Amino acid sequence: MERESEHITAMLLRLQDGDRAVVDALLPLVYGHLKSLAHRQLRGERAGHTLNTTALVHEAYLKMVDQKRVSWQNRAHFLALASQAMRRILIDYARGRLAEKRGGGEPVVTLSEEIHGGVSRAEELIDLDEALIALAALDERQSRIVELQFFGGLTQEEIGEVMKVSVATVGREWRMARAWLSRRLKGDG
Amino acid sequence: MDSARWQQIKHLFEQASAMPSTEQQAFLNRACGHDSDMLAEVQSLLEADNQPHSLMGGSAASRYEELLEDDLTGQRVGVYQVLRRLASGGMGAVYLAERADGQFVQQVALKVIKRGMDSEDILARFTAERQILAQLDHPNIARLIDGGITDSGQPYFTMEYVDGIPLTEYCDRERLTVDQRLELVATVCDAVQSAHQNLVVHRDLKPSNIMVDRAGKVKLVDFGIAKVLGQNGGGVLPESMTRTGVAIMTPGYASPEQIRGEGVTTVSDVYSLGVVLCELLTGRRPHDLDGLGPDQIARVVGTQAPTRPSVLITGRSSDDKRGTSALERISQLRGTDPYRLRRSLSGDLDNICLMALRSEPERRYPSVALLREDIQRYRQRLPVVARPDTLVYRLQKFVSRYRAAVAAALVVIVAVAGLTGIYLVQLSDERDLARSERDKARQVSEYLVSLFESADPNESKGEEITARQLLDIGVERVDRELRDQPTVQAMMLSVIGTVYIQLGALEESRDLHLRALDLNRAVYGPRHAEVARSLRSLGTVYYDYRTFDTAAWYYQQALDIDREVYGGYSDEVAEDLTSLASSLRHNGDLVTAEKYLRQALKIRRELHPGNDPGTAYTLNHLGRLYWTLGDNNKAEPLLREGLAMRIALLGEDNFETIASRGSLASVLTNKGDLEGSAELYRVSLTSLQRLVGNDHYYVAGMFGNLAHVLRRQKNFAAADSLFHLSYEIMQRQVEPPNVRLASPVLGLGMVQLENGNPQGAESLLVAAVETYRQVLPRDHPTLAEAECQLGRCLTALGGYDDAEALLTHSFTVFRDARGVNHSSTQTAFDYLSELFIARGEPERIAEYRAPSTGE
Repeated sequence: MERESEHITAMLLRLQDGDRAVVDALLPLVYGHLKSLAHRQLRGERAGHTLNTTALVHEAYLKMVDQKRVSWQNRAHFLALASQAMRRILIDYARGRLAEKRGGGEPVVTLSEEIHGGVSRAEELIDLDEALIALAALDERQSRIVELQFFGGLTQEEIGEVMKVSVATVGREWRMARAWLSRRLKGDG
Repeated sequence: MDSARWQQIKHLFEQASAMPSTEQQAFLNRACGHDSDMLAEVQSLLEADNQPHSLMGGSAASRYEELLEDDLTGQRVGVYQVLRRLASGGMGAVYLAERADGQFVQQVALKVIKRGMDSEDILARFTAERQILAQLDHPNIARLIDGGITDSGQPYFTMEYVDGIPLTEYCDRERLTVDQRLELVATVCDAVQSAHQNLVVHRDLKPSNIMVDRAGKVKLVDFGIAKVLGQNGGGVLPESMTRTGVAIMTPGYASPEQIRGEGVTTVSDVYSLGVVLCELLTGRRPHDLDGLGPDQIARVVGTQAPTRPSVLITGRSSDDKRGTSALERISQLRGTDPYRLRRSLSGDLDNICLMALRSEPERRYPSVALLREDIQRYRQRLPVVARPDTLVYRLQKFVSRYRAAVAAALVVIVAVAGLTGIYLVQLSDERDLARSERDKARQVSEYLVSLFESADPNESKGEEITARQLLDIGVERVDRELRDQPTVQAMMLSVIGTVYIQLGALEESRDLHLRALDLNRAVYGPRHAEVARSLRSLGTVYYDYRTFDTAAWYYQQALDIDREVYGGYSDEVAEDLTSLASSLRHNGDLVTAEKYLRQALKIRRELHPGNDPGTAYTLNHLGRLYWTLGDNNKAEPLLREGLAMRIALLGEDNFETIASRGSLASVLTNKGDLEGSAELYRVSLTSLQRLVGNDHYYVAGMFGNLAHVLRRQKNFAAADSLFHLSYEIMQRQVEPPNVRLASPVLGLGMVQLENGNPQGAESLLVAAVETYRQVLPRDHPTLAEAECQLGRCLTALGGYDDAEALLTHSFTVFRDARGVNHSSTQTAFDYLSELFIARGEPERIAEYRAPSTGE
């Protein structure tokens, strides 16, 4: 565990130096770790702590990184990676959930959104994921801001640090992205 | 869409969304001109901006949770038709439902356990909640109606549906005044008290569990994690459940004992009500826990003082850009202005909140009824019971806040302040200080208080200040503000210098003590007790540097002055003698050391006939001296007496007691009483674990000690695994190269060697010797110990020349440092003999025996 944390910390420091290859090495580790944390919560070992992606992401940071050695900029980078990992985890989960409900991928005849609420929510998440991919094609930055805020629970200040933009810019971009995504999710996109 | 067009849309959207909606249309018409597609695009985005999709409101967190749930909306459960979901909690969801059997119209809240959460514990808790609710009959507590099992086998129950909003929201919406808010809290207290009288603790009191219905009536809901106290709830909550229950709570409202997972009582509800009260009065909670992880929350809530309501309303720098307007808003919501609000909060209401929020349960209001009474007394303009914390308490709090880092050092501060009569550990400063004139002590203590107020999270913008930073600030302020009061300045420098020693900042400590020495000489003249005190502190600094000559020099000077000042018989002189002797002992002057320690012991015993920490200190040093000399029979009774005194004075879980017990154990080991020694180490281990937790190099060291005893008992498997354990902890705790890391490696090597595996032992012993050589001086006995083992190992492997070099060197080191009769010298001699016999040169044994018989 100690070794892993050292390794991750060292890579995080390289990330700070702009070494993009590090993302490839780091993201899977963060993903794996977050997933086991989330899994633990799902199994109810931590029953009652409301499941909270923000807390998960920050907990992963505390567990995986030697905080004595990294600056708060490194922290923001880690949280960004963790948000990306969190998105994958949630979408994986939603897909699994959907497949389960549909009896292994069979199309389902939906009688009413109300009754199949659980399914519709999983669908919503998957729709959001797809919408974010579409948004990224138009505006990479907006898509990432949504990812960081929605999946990672980062504050606007943290997002500003990751994206190297002002908090005001984050706020403006988020608002537009929210409008664009809402329109797409509500209508036909 | 091309990028230029997207940028254009974005630009227009940003401009338009920033203006009032009445102006948007004209602006867009102007800006888009004939480009109707552009106009439509921006308009539809603005519409979406006004009514964002529900998914975009929150974060993924809520979604994630809902994914886990089977939504019962639209289904029939028992006699109820489920209308919609109201909320999801930790273990289940709550729905609004109504009776569907045509009997009568009744809306109820239907609570179902969440799928995947139906472990036995949770089912038991769920059942308990039903039984608890059934017991409670109070107009302000939501009633239980009935319960059953859903078609899919999930237990549920229904209770009175409270169509209302959380208490905080209600108060703000109705713009209730401070007094009206207090009245509501008093009502809440009534309901909670009634639950307490039924032996039920709520354990999760928070605004969302305190609802106000349309008629303005308060209703407590969600006794989901309530606990039944005492016998009357017999069998309702199995033990396992109450234990699980501790994890279920809401940070922000949970009491420190709940967060720590300790026993929860009715006073835990007092704490939560304190938070609610504080939030109702100020709009904020007393601790800023945003973004903190569970461990940080536990630390903040457990150790930091809550912010006073009158301070809280002015806001934290971080959470509101518009600080003053936030205060305006808070005041408006309470039908008053900032000035009046602050005035009404400061004083009694501050004290009431803080008393409810004290981190030690026994210092809070002992019952909700008493909290209620104090609130009512305030409302009737009567004097309240709550009082601000005393200076003594704050000092204690300060000590506990930094316990791990500076416990011993901060005890000094308490003593300096002259506020406590307890006698304190061996650090030489404190008694002198406590003895100083009363007003000087008071000046110093006030100063210290002002210093740690700068460590108050409110004043340091929520950043936690480390003990080290605090001291650095302290030095700066002492320099700046006490320039014209050299006596107080010298004392402060000296106190801070002593704390620096505890933190291992030896250079800083030395510099401060040198400055204090100068000041004291200038003020008091060269032969004054204060001067001696500074000299003694400098001795301690160099002792910790392991520069024993320098240390002995300072101690000797201090001793000379103290003898002049106090005469031969005083604690100061005994202290100086003891310290001087321990420096001499480390330097190998065992004869003088023994003489001084005997003198010191004589003084101590005459001055303090009974148990006395100073006597225990000297006894321990004298015992260790005899141990060094290899005279275990003289050492044992001295160490036993010292240990007994420390247990009586300081208790078991104390570093001094543990040190005493360790010395005694090593004497027993040398005497061959391995059972007795192992037992002592086991006791020490337990105490240490209680003091510092498992993952500490102290604990690792103690594992090592115990492992050595097991090794001697030839219990190699157990010894091997304990050394491994020790090494694992050390590895996490210290950076190589470090003697602490070498120690378990040496132990592992010795286990292999004695277990008949010299091949396996060799690399381990080499590694240990290498590490010691990197860190220790050439003639250090600890290095010699490792060399001795490696020498023996090489003898077994046939590497006679290397073995001889190692063994003769270690033999010489032991003989010079510890004397010929010491067990380690004897061991080295034995190994040398083995070597000479193996090599076929038994006659050479005599070369080494000669000096021992010669002395």
